[in-house]
Amino acid sequence: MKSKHITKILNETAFKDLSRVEIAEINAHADDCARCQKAFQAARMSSALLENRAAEVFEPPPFFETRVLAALREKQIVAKPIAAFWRWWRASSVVVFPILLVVMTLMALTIFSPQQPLQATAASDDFSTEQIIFQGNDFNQTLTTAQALQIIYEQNNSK
Amino acid sequence: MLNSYKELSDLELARRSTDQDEAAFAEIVRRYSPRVFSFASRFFRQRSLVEEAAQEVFLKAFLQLKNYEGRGSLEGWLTRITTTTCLNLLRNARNKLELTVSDLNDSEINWLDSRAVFAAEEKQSTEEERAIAADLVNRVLDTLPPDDRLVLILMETEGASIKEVAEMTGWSESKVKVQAFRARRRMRESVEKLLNKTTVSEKVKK
Repeated sequence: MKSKHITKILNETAFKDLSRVEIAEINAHADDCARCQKAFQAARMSSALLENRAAEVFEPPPFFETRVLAALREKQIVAKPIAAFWRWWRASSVVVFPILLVVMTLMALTIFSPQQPLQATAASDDFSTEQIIFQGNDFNQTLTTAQALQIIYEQNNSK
Repeated sequence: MLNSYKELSDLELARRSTDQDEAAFAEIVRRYSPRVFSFASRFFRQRSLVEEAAQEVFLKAFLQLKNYEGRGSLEGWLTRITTTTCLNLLRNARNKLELTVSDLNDSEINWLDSRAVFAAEEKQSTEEERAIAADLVNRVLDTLPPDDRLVLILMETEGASIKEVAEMTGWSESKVKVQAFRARRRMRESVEKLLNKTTVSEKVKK
């Protein structure tokens, strides 16, 4: 065994898993072989270093799950905007739906409710200026001052 | 409400998460983030990188939860995702070619020297020494290829067997054996070079 270098054993087995027999073999060989002695020392050091590495552990920060969920939502919005909308709708429809219903009802009432025509306010007073001016005329028709005075004059004359 | 989620099994939480139940997924994150952080800590020495890896793990997990059938433990399933995520992050990062003694600070050289002197004894480390060693090992690991680092971390610090590493990585058992063989040799050679140089530097000082 003395003639056989022990680096193969060191490569094949983790240092901490070496058996007593293997360590005895390594020591016996390393006493006469400076190269293997260095390799053995380095293997021992590597094992000690890795052991120390195992002791260092980070803990998750507080509210880490909130951060993950936020990242997840962001990713989903970018990847599937429609799916993200439906997810949002499912989550918030209880609040959003009644509000939307009220807004739409108000809009419908505003658009489709019957408007009071302008003649109706003037209809009660036969002698009002509006009645005189607009009687028998289209609202869209614009009158000049002269035409309006002419109509008033004719109206008075006919009475 | 949150308490009711705490009582649910992993499989039930996974099912609910697949149905877009965010509270169920939040419970999975709460339950397993310590394990994922602990595992990812083996690969990175910067907290920000560990957090980045852990977040990536849970985002991947959410997207792949529909494939989780509850045959193995959710912890094991998440560990596999953590392994591949960390390996990918390591592959994306640039490797340092070699660690030379000029890269080491005084405390790291002292640590190596003290270990060389007390090599035959089981020397107890102080907190400070442990911190120095942890930093030093990271710097040595940074010089190794990602696959070597992965196998060393899994086998030497996590105590995983060849079979377990094969399951976690998806490699064959013979590949794990070969990879472990090479990784140990490279790590040992890297430390050996440092030891030679520190010894030389000590001799020069004297």
